[in-house]
Amino acid sequence: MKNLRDYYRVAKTMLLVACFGLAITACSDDNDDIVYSDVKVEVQAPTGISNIEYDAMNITFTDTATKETTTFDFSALQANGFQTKLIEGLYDIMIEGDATADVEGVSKAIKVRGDLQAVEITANGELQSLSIPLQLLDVGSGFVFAEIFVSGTLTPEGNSYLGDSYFRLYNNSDEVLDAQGLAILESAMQSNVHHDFFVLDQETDEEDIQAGDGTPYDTYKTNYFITDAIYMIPRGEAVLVQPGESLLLVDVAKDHSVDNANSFNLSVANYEWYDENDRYPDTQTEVPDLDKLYASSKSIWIPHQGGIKAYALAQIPAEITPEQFAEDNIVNYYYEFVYGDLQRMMTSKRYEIPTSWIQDCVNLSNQTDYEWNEISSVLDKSYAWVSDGSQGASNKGKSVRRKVLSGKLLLDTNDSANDFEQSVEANPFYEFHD
Amino acid sequence: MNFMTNQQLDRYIGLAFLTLCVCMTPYTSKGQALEHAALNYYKYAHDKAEMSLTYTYEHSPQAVVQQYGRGISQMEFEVNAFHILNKNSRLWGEVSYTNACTFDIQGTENSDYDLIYPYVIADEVGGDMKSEAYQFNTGYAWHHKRWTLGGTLGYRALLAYRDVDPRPKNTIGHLKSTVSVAYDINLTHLWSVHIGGEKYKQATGISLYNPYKTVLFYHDTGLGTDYSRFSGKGSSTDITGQFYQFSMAYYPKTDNGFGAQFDWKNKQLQKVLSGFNALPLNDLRNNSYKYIAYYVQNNLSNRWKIQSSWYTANRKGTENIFGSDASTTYEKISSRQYYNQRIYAGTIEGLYSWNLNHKHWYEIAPKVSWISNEQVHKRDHRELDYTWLVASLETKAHLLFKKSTLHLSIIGQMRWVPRATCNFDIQQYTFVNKNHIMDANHQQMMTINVRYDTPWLVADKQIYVMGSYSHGRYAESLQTHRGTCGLGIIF
Repeated sequence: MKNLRDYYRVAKTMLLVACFGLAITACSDDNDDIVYSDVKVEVQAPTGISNIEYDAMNITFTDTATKETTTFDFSALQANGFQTKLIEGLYDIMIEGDATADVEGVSKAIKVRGDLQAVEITANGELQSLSIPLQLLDVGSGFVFAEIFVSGTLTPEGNSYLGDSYFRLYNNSDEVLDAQGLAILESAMQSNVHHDFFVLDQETDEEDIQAGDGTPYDTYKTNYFITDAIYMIPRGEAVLVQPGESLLLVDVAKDHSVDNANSFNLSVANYEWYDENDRYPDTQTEVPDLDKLYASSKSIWIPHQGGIKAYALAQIPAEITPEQFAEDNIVNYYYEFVYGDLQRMMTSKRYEIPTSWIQDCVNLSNQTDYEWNEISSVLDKSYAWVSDGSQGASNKGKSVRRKVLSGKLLLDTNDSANDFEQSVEANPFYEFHD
Repeated sequence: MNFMTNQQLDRYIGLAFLTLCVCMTPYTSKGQALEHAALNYYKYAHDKAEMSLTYTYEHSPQAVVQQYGRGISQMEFEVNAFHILNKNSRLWGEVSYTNACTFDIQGTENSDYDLIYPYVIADEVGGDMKSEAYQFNTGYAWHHKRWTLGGTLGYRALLAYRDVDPRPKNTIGHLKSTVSVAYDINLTHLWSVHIGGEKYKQATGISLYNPYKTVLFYHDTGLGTDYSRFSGKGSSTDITGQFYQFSMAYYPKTDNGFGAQFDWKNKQLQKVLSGFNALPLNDLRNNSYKYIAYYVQNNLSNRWKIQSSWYTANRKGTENIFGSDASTTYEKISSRQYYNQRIYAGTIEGLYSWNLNHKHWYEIAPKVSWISNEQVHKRDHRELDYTWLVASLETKAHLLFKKSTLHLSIIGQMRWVPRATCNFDIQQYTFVNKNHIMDANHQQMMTINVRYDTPWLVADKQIYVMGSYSHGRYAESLQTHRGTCGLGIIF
């Protein structure tokens, strides 16, 4: 009988332990739902057109945390906009497609594109409405970048080698084009460093700037491109380029393979950019120099070797002299730097050109460092890359080269991720066609 | 009588179990029962102290678990002691130093993978990892009337590094403390309550000495996913954590009768990108519960025990979402609890040992475990589920000679896989896939442990030698061999 009582007592004890455990288990948090937010997107038609009818439109949401993209058919948008559910997060949103509209009184088919970057989608129980301004997309023919090589090479000994950067410009039309006045530009902003820039009407001391003063850069960039280097093909004599032919613009136009077996003979280039200065002398060769309109560097200009800037090809109007350009195209901008308690306005002074002058633009970044599109999505909605973001020298000797669409025609949709072969072995003499 | 003490036995069994566990995947670990410091008061009847030096070596053609590497070369020096201060007080401690090189670790540049997965930094290079670890543990128990108070304090410091690119340097500090109180409810049993807290930090920095070597670092988030926004960035990370534990035990102090124990462990970890204004990238929370019930009978000639246990663990991983970096600081705007792992394990085990002429002691211990391991990553609705059935049989012999003792054990283990399902294309994720191949197939393991407490004396101290050999058979015809040898002194 005593044994029975003992077993009963033990059983009670063990039950107590088990119940206690279960009680704690029951307190564990099982709330693991993912939070969604309702989002509505509407578009603003491009300015200067009327009676727009959207045909085939797509909207793409890119989750910046995961780089996952979700694309919806947006064709029936004009009545009520587009509504969906998104997981809370930070998104880049892109809309593009075809439409018909009256342009200068004539009904014609057009392409439109618009985007919003770094949009915070948070769930507050209310519908989050977004409005995206669309712009006309000009992917016509003309001069385009066929290949961009900015990352430099390595010597056989593994040392870094400079001076052999080049840009290859290509006549992507079916007519002979004159390249005089054509300029290459490097963007002042980098695609891997994102700040909330604001553009000021005039130069202002940083102490006098209030956060939010000026025009938001996202609005400004639809009409302007801020640059820190402009080099132009000299005027005065026609520089005729046949359809499917190209011009080679290089840093130092010499046979680099003499000094570095991994480099190229650039002595046959059409132009070089030459910076006369007394800080770090440039190498002058017999190849004609480009006209330097502006470079932020006090010595020589070396395109950013990291491949994280945008490059534009702009036709500088004939009536604009270098002096006038320097006088009229200054731009002042700033962003607010915050680090803990430290806060200050970081101002910059560079030069701007209207996006209407730009014939082609290629944004560069690398696969893992890309933070934002520092140029208008109408110029380039994505980026080409020479480096996948690996630490080290994976980009050395690599360029981006435009794909061939057919025959002598190269692919140009203002979408460099699609238009370019990424991180290919640089070859300034690559044959795009027979 | 020069018979093996309980502590020696525990160490001996522990060595065998450790050898077995190290060769298994992380998911088969069902969690060890928490040790109540107060109950240590009743554990030993006399002082003891040992010093040992062991060397372990394994170099396999491929890894069973990629993040554990393909083997190890490890030297360990350890001193442990248990001292009866007086009738009411017990003091014990352990100090160890380990110097190891783990071969070809892949899929993580962090250390303590078991603790912090899936939030590790990984690359596609990996390689050997050298490490030095210092560990210090001490405990004290004080008995008064029917009450016993106990406490422990421990600290582990580990430095792990690689001296070729990529060169991770992991520095770990891990502080542990526990307090427990036991109440003697009658002549046979005790009630004991135990609480504990731990602080953990792992600082990791990865450098490349060769500026032209290319390595891309990923912040893994489980089941082949990674935090894409920060890929290639932030190779300096801090993983910090606080761990809590609670346990109740009903303990047969005479090693006769029923016993039961409930353990709860809570681990909270956060991974921070230290170079990004201490950006808290991921949070990890792990709750585990263990229930044990057993009945043990013990007398001078034999001992038997039957035990059942149930273990459940839930690991939840959260990816924090940040707004634009446009103001140079990343503001957290949301979080996504994407990773979820649930482990359930039920075990029934038995033990029977018998004593011949109070000289030779034999033991046989069968054990069967059912383990379910479910992992989910909600981003792409990825699921990876396993059910394992593990059966093992351990036999031991302790043979007492005139001036020496021989301890021998053989453990055989089989693991079957009744279920292994994966709903995503796992083959494109190299390390996940390699682990999956091992986890989704049967495994066999055999371990032999030998310890000989010799008749030789050095300065009146007894010397013992020990050796261990483990052989594993896995998928893809992989066979592993691990050997350990050691020398010790009993004070």
